[in-house]
Amino acid sequence: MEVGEILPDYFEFSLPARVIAGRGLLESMAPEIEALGVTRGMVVTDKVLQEAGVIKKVLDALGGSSLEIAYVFNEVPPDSDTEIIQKGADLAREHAVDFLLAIGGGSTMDTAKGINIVYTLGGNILDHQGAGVVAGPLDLKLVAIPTTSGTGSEATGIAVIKDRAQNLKLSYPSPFLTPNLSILIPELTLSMPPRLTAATGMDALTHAIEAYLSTNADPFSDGLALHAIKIISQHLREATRDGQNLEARYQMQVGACIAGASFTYPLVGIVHASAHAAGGIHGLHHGLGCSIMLPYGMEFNLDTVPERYRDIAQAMGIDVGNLSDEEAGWKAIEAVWHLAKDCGLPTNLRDADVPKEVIPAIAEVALTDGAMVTNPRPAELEDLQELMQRAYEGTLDEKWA
Amino acid sequence: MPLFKDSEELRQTMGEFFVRNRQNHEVGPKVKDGALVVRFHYTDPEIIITVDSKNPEPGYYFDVYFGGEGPEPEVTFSGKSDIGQKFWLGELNLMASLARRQIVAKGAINKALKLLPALKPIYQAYKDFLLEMGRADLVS
Repeated sequence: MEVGEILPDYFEFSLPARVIAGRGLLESMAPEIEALGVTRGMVVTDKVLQEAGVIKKVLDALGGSSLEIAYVFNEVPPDSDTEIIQKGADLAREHAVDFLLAIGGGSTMDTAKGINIVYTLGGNILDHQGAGVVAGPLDLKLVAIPTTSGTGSEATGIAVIKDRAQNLKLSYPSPFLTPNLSILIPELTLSMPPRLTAATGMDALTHAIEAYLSTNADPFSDGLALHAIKIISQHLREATRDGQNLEARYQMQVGACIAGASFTYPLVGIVHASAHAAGGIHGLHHGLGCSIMLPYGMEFNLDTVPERYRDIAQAMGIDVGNLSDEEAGWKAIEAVWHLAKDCGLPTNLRDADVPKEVIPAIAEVALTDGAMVTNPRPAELEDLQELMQRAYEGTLDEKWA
Repeated sequence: MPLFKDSEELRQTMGEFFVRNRQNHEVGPKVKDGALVVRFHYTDPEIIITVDSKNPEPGYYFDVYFGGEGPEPEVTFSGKSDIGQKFWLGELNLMASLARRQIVAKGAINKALKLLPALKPIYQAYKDFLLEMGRADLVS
């Protein structure tokens, strides 16, 4: 092995988010937020959570502290978008807040990140697209309370924001977007229905697996990714089967958060590229798209980095003792397929109601997705077309169903 | 010390390479399919190159403008000329350089990143071009 294969050009790791988790944290979190030196905040959330009483629970828990919530901005849509960010930034200015409290899933946390960009740098969120553009600390402290276990946005410096005018999802990567404080409260995820639990959990598993297979993986991200794979593969079934199981919910929150931290620098790959494309073209739920595409993306990459699959299989609890790397890799792919199946998710695009005629278009868009840059195996259009076709027909279903 | 002594030298090497590749049949079609206006703003020494594959002159895959001329870019890559040189020689880990802010990419980066795989043949072409110009010193 040559030196160049051991020593990378460069790698970077940091986890600027202070993550806290534990029993009874809802009631005892106020001092943790106060410790940021803030007094007046705006909640960023959606109507569903407000109507479900989740926001009231959080606000009640902050009662008696020095923290004042000046406004509850509950208009976050399922996909964070440019208009809502502008409105949120205007409201944050109007109410003279010094922190944002994002309560919700990925879209909510990404909206809060976008609001912070526009609040600090002015202009429109479109003016600040790019890598390295947000180049310094932002003015508002950001506290994230995730209510799903999938996106990992509570631990990443990445925001994905939809530009509806162009029907494009825009990426905003910057370490300065990372929340200052992330509070994991599993009680707030108890109301997630089984299908959403399963799909978001498979999204988290995809983050970890693609981070581990990424061309930009590093020793820190490797450790986080493997541990996230272990936690998620051990607890997703139970969290899906019994949504009231607080321990399973806690494990999934932690697993998703670690998975988020694992992919901040390595980024993701062909599975996310395909899921982004299927989401953009057909509106397929992102987590479900990841779940269906993950075994197929893993199959595609297996020959390129088989030794990495051995580690993934071991993290999933598979005994790989006498198996070759490739055999261990197939065991890992099979385990991922069974996990999705056991959680009641469709395992092919046809069963997810994706029309056959949009498959070529999904392949074309996936090929040009930014996530392909860090995929371990380069892909041509024909590769993507074959991959999508296999996922549509469910060729692996025939093997394991 | 920078690789290029001044902007004129940069214009005659890297800049000229862009102009000569407007009809590169290996890379051009994919660049044209990307339909993007990309600007490279290198400093020390300075050069601004804008590549327009959205509305190129007939018979060409893209147009090249210098000094801030041309249409408004959808994405701008900024950094030192030496870093730009490493990129066009295929010797730069772009993702690492973005993380280190050696390169700042402002604008629609997803659109620009999708062109990366298509650019692979251009790296060797740039090396060959520099060698042909007698500038082996810029290749090593």
